[in-house]
Amino acid sequence: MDPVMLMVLLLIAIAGGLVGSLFGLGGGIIFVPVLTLLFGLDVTAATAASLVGVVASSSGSASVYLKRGLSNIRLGLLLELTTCVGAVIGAMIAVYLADWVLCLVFAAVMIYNGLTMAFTPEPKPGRAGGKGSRQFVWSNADGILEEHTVDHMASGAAMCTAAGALSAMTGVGGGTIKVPIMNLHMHVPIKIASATSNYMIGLTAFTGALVYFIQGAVLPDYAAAVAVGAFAGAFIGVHLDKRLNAKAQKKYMSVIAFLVAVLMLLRAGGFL
Amino acid sequence: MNEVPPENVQTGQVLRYASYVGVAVMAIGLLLSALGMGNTVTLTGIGLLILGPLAGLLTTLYFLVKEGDRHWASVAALLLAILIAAAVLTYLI
Repeated sequence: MDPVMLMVLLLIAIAGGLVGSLFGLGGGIIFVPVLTLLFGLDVTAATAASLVGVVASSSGSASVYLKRGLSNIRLGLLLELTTCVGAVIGAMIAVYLADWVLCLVFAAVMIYNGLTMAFTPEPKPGRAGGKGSRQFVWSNADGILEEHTVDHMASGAAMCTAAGALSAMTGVGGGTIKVPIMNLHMHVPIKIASATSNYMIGLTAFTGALVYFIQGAVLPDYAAAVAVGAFAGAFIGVHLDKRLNAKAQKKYMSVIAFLVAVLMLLRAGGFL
Repeated sequence: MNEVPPENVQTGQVLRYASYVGVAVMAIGLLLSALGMGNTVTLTGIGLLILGPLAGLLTTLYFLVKEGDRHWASVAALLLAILIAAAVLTYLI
């Protein structure tokens, strides 16, 4: 790869890793369009490189969020489990549905998420012992570990199954749906939701990245450049996270949801 | 309650080491590729990085079993089984 293009890719990957770690998205939503449109990679090679970048971004940020007590492993494991089941179902039924229909559905979900995130204040903590609730431990705003209540566990897990299916059918990472589900439906604070999502997306990306790696579909230079940049971006992101309050984080998250919706609408219309 | 649970700390450490080593090897590979070599080094780094989340999940499972938390250990074990099955099925199909 041309050294100038390598630097460009590294800088874009840093931005992708930063956004991914701040909002629990991984960065694939940035990597794939950049690699296909700007670098001319085919979709398979771009997806393979992107998945390696997502693993780097997720591992880098999750390692810090876990240590700070912001990522909740138990909640992440449960929601990841239902997401994976959804992804398998999605992969099986994707062949029966037109891509533009899936993209429209995804765009509609993103617009709904964006509007709700923009206009809904941070949820109040759930009531201990409430129906369908469960206790989890994470750090509060002062960095002190406390027991918190997560509401609507069963329906939240079911929604993550749908998110996994939709994600597998469209190829867009599930973080853009899972973070709003945790925050708006299960009443998990936005910072905990995005940190937990960062832990989850590494596991999701691992499977795909491993398969592409074994199949020899990973282009070393592109994948390494994306991964190194995403890793550096993730570390910048976890340090910026301390300065970003929950209200601002939700506002930015809603902007990202609208941008993803636009990308999905462009893809539905055949422009991407 | 002030201490971060051990599975958090240890899983975080495994992810950190895997990503540090993987990224460092990849960076060396990128530098070597500028000299017309280094593909094997880069691929080794990518492989190490990719295996990080799996190693993290195994660490989590180990600590949950050690704590005697059967419920969450079974969730972790089931997730591990699904991830491996998904990888095998995707590869075969």
